[in-house]
Amino acid sequence: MRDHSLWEKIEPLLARVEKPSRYLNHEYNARVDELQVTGVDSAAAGVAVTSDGAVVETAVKATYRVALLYPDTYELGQSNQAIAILSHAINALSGCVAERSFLPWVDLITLMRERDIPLFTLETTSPVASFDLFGITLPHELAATNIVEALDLAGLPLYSKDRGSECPLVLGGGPLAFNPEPLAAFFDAFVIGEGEEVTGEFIAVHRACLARGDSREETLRALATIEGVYVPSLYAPGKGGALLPQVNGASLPITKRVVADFDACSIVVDPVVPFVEVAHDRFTVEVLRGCSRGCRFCQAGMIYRPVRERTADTIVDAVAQGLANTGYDEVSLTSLSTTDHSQIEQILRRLNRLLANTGVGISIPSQRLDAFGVAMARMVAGEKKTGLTFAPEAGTQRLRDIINKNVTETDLFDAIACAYAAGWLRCKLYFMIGLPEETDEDVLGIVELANRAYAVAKDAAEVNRRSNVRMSVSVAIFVPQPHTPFQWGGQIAHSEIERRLALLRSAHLHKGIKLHWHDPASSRVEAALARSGREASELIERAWRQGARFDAWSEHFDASRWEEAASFCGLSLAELAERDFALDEALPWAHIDSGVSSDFLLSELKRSREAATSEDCSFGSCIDCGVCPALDADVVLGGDSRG
Amino acid sequence: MAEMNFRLRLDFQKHGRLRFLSHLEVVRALERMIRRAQLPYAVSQGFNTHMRYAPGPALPVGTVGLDEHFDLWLTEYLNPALALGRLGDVGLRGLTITAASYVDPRAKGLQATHIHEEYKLVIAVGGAGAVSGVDGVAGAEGDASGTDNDVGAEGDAGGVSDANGAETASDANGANGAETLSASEIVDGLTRVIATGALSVRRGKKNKDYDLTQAIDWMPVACEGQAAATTCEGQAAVDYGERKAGDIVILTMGLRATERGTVRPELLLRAALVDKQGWELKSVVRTRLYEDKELEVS
Repeated sequence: MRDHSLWEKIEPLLARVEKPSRYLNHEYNARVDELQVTGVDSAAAGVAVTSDGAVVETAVKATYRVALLYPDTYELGQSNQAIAILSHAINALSGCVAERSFLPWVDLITLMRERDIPLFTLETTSPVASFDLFGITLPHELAATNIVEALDLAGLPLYSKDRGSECPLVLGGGPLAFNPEPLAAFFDAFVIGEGEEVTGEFIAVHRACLARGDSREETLRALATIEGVYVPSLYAPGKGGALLPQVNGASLPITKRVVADFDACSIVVDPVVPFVEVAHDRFTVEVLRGCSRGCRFCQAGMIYRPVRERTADTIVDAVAQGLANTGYDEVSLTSLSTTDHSQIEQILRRLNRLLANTGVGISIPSQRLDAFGVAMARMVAGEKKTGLTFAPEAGTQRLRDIINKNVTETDLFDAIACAYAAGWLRCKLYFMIGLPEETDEDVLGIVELANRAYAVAKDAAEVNRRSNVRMSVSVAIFVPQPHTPFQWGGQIAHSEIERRLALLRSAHLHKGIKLHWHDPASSRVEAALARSGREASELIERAWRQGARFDAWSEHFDASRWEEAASFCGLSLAELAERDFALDEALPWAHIDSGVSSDFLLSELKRSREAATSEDCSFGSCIDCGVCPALDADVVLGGDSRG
Repeated sequence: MAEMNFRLRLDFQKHGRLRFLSHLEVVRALERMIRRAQLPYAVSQGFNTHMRYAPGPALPVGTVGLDEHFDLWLTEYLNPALALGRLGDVGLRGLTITAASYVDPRAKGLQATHIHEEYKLVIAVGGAGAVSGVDGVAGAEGDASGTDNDVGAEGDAGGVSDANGAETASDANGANGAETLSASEIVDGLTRVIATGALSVRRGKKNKDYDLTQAIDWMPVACEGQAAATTCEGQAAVDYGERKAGDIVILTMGLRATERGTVRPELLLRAALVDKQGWELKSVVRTRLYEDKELEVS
């Protein structure tokens, strides 16, 4: 099957599916290898003739081939930076090629299953199962059933233990790898932390194993010696539930890998330019990584530490190159908190000059909640003031202090006044319910805060536009996440979520404000999966067998499948989501070390109970989270290291 | 208002894999190509700045186009050959710019002037080709793509093809044992449909009615056997699929855009062959797109 293109089987199906341009490859900057291997000899020599008659190096056995999957549709996966960054890193390695794969939409999956066509990669339309390495991004909990779907569609046994050496090695990485246990049974290995830092090492070890003809067991053991690589099959729970190594050479904890010199880490300036309108249809530059604001509910704010900025020069250069290479009409400066970049003002000023009169816009994903944030948004908005997004997260100062969202009402009102005075007519406010120690007063505080923000907006807007002032309030259900100060406490009970949502809906919200809320049932599945251990693998498989997939798509999510799956497995979603862990209990993710010390998380939990806030070390002093010494890394601002 | 004295007309082809692009996807891909080529494109001023261009009539998902046009306004004169070269350097395989020339900046838009369309359809009849379940034409039922001249329509026009419609085409029509359809039977069927003067096609829950008295420029012509095989072979470069040998009919026809859009040739074919078995549409190609004054020389 190797090097056998499935294109001839896929193409006839494309007339019958939605958005066939998802499956074409051939986008600008995509690698196009329409290889027609002319014979066994030339294939062995690594040479083939393309349909254009050009002689090129082929992806033959001498080449190490990696299929990288984002476990959702093209529109989401092609927007995701992980696949782009890792493809770029792998293709830069000698003798290695990476190809993209996405989960086809349900219409094509059905046709493929009817015809026994397996999951394929875009570049050469090869079966994923024919690759050496099958890397899967783990973006969020609700992608779990899509991962199972992908393995099954690829024709691979679902469980690592059932796969032999003829199968590609199945590797996972991404935010979900910080609690890999629910997915552990499906994966041969996980990378903990930043993939671009580990991938080269991982591939080198694996290639050496392949060259030696190592058995699967030997290969897994060799991979387990790499720092930041977790091979779940080499560990088993001991007394008290904590995982213990089962073989020599496997050790715990697995410490996250980070790129120390982020500025020197190359930016993908020639990304694939999709045909389909994708979720983030623009050129993106990651301007900084990490966030040290220290919001206590936020996993990203903990696991991506320390903060490392790219310099203004690097960023502006990348924007210029990337736009020239892609032809996009928009560039997005991404990060967890872009306006916190120490040189943001200078960067935006330079970009404005660079892009004047080109019709190319700059976007910043979300706004820092103060007048400065709005000033920065103003710099890039031009005439197009479409919408701003602010995240106060909680409705009262007390609860904002508990979660360490260091934002006051004054900050919010200043930001809103600035925005509406500058001509914006709409903004989005993000909140959560179900945060630790939330009371009804906090829930109603969301409505009260929104109403007052609306009044501020109305006062600030031009008199003749006041009737057009709009606002929307989006309310998520809090999902306690591993590696955060709130990791020990469970999600609040489902009935209580419903009650608080009802309370929220019953409160009087100004008619200019629209209220949206997340589905509590899917938030519960998220919490159950986020906080489980190995027992959840069977649950995921079962839910998938009940028909669950594309769970992140509300029209596909069906809570009853998960409920039935849980009862089949003798589990309870409520219990998994809502259980509290004792402070001295072995957490299912205890063997994964994000660099942030558990002492720090614990002290933050205790401070939260006193509603005591903690500082951001990018602006204030070190608060001893432990990440810099643990990872031998430093906070890097504007290119200068801070010891 | 920025200077926009130069209106460059790009001729292009949509073929190969990229025939599956929708109209909006084609427009976006061209726009990005123009930016990569760093042509001195004009930018609209005001609330939502954007490149100044005007695409020609929409081409549905799955339909190959050999003579498509796209107008672009430039702020300064650029040698058309140079523009063509620069576009070629940053081009896409399957969206090929074949020519660039200046036209009167005040002339009417392409969609108003280029109302004549010539189509070529490759139809597999009988034999293995017709029962393989292959169907190279998306949205063959015509009611799903929404691109019948809905230029600039919101959303992903043409991105949705009708799976059920296509299913009917390849399965119901592909039954074994049917007699091989001849070119003249196909033409007769089409002639009957056209003679009724109207075509009503189900679009979702509603019917869409076409006035065929206005929609036909010239009557369908078909060839089969060696003549068809030769034609097909000669066009292999623009992706007709793999049909080279017998068992195919090549159908050509001249259609005309009306205010209600252009009737899609596959709709006519389906109506004509509604009671016939053992045929399958392999590809639809818009071979020409031109204006009135060119009609005589066609």
